[in-house]
Amino acid sequence: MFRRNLDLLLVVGLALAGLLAGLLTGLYPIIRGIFSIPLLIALPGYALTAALIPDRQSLGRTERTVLGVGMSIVLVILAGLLLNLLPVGITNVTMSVSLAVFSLVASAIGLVRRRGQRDQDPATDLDGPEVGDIPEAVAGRRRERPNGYGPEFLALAVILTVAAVFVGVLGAVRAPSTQFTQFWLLTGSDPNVIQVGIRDEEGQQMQYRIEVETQGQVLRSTEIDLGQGEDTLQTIKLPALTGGLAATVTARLFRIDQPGAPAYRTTLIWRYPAKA
Amino acid sequence: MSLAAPAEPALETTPIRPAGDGLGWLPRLACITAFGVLLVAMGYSLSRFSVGSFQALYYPGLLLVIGPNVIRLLRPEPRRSERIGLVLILGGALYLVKILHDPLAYTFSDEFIQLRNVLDVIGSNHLFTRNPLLPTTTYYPGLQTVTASIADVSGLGPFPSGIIVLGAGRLILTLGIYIFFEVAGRSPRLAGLAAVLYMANPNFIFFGAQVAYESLALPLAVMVLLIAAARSGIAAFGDPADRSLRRGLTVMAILAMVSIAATHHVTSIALAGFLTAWSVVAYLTRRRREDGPGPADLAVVGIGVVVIWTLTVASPVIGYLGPVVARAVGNGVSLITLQSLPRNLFTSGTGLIAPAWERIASLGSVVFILIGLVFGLIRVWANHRREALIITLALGAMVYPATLILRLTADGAEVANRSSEFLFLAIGFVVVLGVSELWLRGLPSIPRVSILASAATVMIIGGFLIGWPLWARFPGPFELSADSRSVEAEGLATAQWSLAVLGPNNREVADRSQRLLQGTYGHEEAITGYGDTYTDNSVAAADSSCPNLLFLAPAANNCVAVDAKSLIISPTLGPSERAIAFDGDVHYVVFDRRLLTGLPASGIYVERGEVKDGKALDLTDPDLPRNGQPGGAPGSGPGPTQLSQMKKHLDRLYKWDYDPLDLRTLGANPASDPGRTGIDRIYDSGDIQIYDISVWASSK
Repeated sequence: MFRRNLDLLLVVGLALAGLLAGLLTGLYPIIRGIFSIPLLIALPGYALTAALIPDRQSLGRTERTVLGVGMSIVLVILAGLLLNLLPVGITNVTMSVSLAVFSLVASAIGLVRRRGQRDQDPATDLDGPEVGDIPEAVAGRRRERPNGYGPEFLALAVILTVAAVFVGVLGAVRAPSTQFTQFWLLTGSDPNVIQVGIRDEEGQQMQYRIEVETQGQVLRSTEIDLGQGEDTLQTIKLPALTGGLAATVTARLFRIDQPGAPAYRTTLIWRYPAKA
Repeated sequence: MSLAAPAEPALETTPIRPAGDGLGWLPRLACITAFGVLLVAMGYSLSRFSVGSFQALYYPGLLLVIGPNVIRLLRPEPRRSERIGLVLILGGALYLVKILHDPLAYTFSDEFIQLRNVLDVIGSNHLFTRNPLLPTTTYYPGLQTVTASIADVSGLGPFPSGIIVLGAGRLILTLGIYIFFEVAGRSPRLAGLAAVLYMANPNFIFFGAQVAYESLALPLAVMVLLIAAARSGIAAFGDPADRSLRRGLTVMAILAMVSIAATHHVTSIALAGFLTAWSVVAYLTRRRREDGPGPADLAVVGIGVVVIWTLTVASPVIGYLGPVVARAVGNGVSLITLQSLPRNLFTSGTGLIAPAWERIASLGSVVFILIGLVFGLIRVWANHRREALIITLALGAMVYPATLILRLTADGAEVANRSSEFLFLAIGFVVVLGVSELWLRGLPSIPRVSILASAATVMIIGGFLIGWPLWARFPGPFELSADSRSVEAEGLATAQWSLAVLGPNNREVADRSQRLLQGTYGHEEAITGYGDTYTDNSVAAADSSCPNLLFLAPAANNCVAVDAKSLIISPTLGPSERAIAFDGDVHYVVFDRRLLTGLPASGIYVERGEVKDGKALDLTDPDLPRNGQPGGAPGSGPGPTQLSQMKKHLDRLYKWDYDPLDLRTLGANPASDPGRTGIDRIYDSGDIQIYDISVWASSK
């Protein structure tokens, strides 16, 4: 009996492990992922298949795999639609609890419905004829002996696949990317205070000069050194607006290594006289 | 009974000592396939670094992935387990070809749309939030539910979660089509080959593997089909004890159809349509039928769930799909009646023509499929006209030539391309049925296997080339409006800056590529003509209940699309542009100056409808060379046309910084002295600027 139901007992164990992984948000992500992902894409569907079709001879392994994974996704979608009706909605807790409970209940039904069934799988002749085979197939199959190093070749295939992923990821990480500097100018809650920001994404240490001016008056002219990925934010208090007309505040960014060149970046905002 | 063997009587077996593990040549072929994937990965990496020889690695890699597996599947020796393994390896390897294209983040346009949905579910814990990038998608929350659930429960991010979901989908799809074909054709050999030929559909490698709602719905639909086929076989040939199996399968099919209806519109409609057609054929052939009854009960359920979901949840989809199909059919009819000319095939949006070998391979793919279809349909008529499922598949395959006509039209090409994922279920089976019964009886000779394997490889690679232009196949340097090639660091940083500094949900207009980044990484409210409307009270009194989606709007309530693209492509900023900003409540414009450096690879700068004098809009700087020609319209010289083009170009470039009148009369330097009244230029990263135009949003 134990052997006959080993698969469903495994489902129960993995569902409980998946539930714990789903609830324990502090777990290391890889560990959490390894235990929780089967709960979403394999266990509920497999348990449902076992509950609805308890006879293990009715479905082959391939069919059970397709239905197990496919019905798991179906159940996650349906669970999501139902959980969406609750105020709490779809969270790690609601989803993992509902899927784990479903898996356990369906496994229990499967265990009950399997009672009285045969234990063993039918023996198969691995080189013998199969459904749909032509006579030449069996003879050819018996002539073939390609499996001397089957596991070794499979291991090599895995190594090559890992190498392919490594090459692909490395290429994407190291690929040349656009180099640029972000420069911005904003007012805060106080319209008489502006913030000027710079972020260096040039791939190297940069020396900049910021120049902020309004109504012909230079408010600030500062040199700044920034390394790749570093940013800085400067707060500048503006003088009172004179003349009763709208005026601009312009912030320009210059590169020290390009003396005499026009502004590298330019930003501008408008100031308006306060309404009476 | 096994689903895989519904009808064939068991053959007599000879008790012998098993010599193999049932895997045959699979381990060696897995090695060759993995090496092919490695070559593809190296090709991608070289492409990223703009090394010219990247294609010399990429295509041999694809050949190694496909060719050896096809040769083995053509042979009669492999056991069922080996065939299943080979199909699985091939499907998995081609999935890796997509993943390795962009192994770090989503870059395909549909993936951004789903990413926004997933982020919204994770953020709000609820479905059906508004998605400004494509509002229809939120009415089909299947994919976002699964992806967000994995991200929530596992703690992984949306990207790895999406890869896992689609990986599971690919597993279901490849195994599912194998079993479906095996049940339909009662032959593992036919099933393996038909499953491989299904992969010749132009969308299998990239589109079908991207994180989009169709990519998940299709595998589930295939699962329903195999359930329906198995039920049919059980009803015809099974023993009474199989009633429990039939009942269980029915319950699963119904649950799956509900979830498909909640995942993708076209897939659920296509599934219901196929089940209905199969049921009708089965009914019409009931007196001479040699297979099981049709899935009439499942067809009724399929139609029911589609109708209920569409009417109660996703009614906007009627207006979304209707015009697309109508345009495609209209284009097809006008082409057939010679009222319009066919579009230029093998020519990208930038005018580049595909190399000769690509055109030959693509056409070869179509020709081989058409030849295979002819023989397949003849065999169906000769040997299988009493089998309802096979007749239905043959009817489905006969739609293929009509899609070829649609491919010659501008609007129909996309419909034809999208339909291939469904049609190839029928095409793959019918073609392989013909090939199997005509040329694969007994032990095929080596030349015959070689020829057939070559043809199959051409079909798969040629199909891939048809569906995806060169710029889309390879990662690499920035290209204008070129989906994954337009996703680069500056645009991404701009979107992240928007979220961090401006906050989420600001209403803004951006070009096609930047809009996707702003809508996801920036979580901004990207405004589009297809997603945003306003009530035009200037025409007549309206009821002020303008829906978000224009296609829901009857003419009576004066709903008008926000012509967002004009804010980017118009050379001037006059009263009409101010009105657009006001009516659309546009607060920010994200302006990428690279738009004015060339033609868009996808044919669109911002949105559909960019037509000028009946021709596609061209914002290219007239001073820049194009297609190897020197700057300026060919032959125009520095005459008035050229000067007019240059003026418009400058106006477009600096319209947000200057009133063009000031620019010309005051002699100001637009690069360093911007200033259009009321418009704040708050962000500048070189190519991209963000303008705060809230002042226009608040008053006309």
